[in-house]
Amino acid sequence: MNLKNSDITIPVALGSFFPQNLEESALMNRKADDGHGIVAELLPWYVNGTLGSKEQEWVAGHLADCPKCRVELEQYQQLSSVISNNTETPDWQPSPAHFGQILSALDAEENGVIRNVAVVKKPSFLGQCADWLQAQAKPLVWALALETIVLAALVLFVVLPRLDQQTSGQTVFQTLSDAHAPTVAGLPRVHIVFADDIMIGDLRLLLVSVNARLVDGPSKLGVYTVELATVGNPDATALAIATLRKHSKVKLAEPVHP
Amino acid sequence: MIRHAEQTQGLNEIAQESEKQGLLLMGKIANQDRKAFEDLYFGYTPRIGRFLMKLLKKRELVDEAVNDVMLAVWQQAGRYDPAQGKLSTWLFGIAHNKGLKLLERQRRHQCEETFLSQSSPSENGQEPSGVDAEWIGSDNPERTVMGWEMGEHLLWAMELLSLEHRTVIELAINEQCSYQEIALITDCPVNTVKTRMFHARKKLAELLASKDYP
Repeated sequence: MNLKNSDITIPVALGSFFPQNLEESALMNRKADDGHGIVAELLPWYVNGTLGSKEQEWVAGHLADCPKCRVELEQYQQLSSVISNNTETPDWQPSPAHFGQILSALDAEENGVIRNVAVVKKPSFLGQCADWLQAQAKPLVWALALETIVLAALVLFVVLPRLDQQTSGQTVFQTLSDAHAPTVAGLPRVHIVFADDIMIGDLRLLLVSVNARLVDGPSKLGVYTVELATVGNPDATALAIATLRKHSKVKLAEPVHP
Repeated sequence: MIRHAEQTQGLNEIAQESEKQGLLLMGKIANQDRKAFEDLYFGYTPRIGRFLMKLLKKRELVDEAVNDVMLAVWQQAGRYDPAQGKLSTWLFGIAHNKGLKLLERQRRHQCEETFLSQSSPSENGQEPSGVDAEWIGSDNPERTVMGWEMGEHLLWAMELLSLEHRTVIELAINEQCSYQEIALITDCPVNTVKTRMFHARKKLAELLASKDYP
């Protein structure tokens, strides 16, 4: 016997894991079907036993008086049985080795965080000076003196190096196509732009996985340079670059051409 | 009917006990207890991994997703509020989210590869991509519940469902989640969950009918 629908024919043996008559069911005719539609909606959760007690009672009461919905219940139970007994899906099981990987990532991340916290908590030289000044008499005088020192330091460390670079012909920026990107001992290099939210653990795992190390960056454009240990092996280099590009936290990975 | 109620009650008691244990572990994890973290990993990831395996199909992706889930648990254990839902629901919600992100990354990667290689699409256009060879093609002697062909066709049809429809079916049938829990996990209204289930069943019917199953 087949169940008829408007344009499909469903064998009963397959159990129509579906409402017995699709066009009359829950979502189509909720008000006019004497509760069949609502029961059809709730059957999956009646079968897995997760309905609230009132819903459970209501569905059970309806099923007791409704042969049509009982057929549908039976069909849904068949579907449930087939799917829950399906052994086709490859299994996944936890393992000590996998847990070890998680702990390594955790350690890497926490070490990064601790380093950052340590950097934040350590008072800077200027901070120490400011604290010392606050403990002194006439703080305004000392504050002005400090301001003068800071300005002098800015001139020394920021302005002068730029002048020096300009006079020596060097550029402040390094672009992705910069032909002057240095290569040491012939090791291939790659310019990388990471996503802003990459975690240090992910970064470490990624670099280890392609046998690379950070050698430069970030540039003012946020570009890092990594060196690959794949000298003389173009295939390995291409594979490493493909792996880098595949990573969700890598926005761009371009080889540096010497 | 009585047997069904007794089974349900028994399962509920087991679930409540498991939930209690899970809450204790979460309290310890919030205090950076690695032993509790390990216990939670071995206690909960078999279910999480099974669910992700249905979603992602590849072990290496599931490894990565479970890794992400556990790191999120370690970092956010203190923020878990039992009043908002069961621990397993919270974990499945994280797993679902991480799984979707990985699928999106994979999809982008596949788009790039297709663009680069200029390869033509598969001949029949119906086989789902990114599925382990053992997933559909294997000869499994245990595939006998309702007949060999039944399992074969059902797997084929399930693979062609949208991710949303497949997720609702997996969570309801394999993970025994209520529709409220599925709504929390997938971050959508309960009526959407019911609607997705309905349309998933309808789609399965259409697909199996198109196979002209004897």
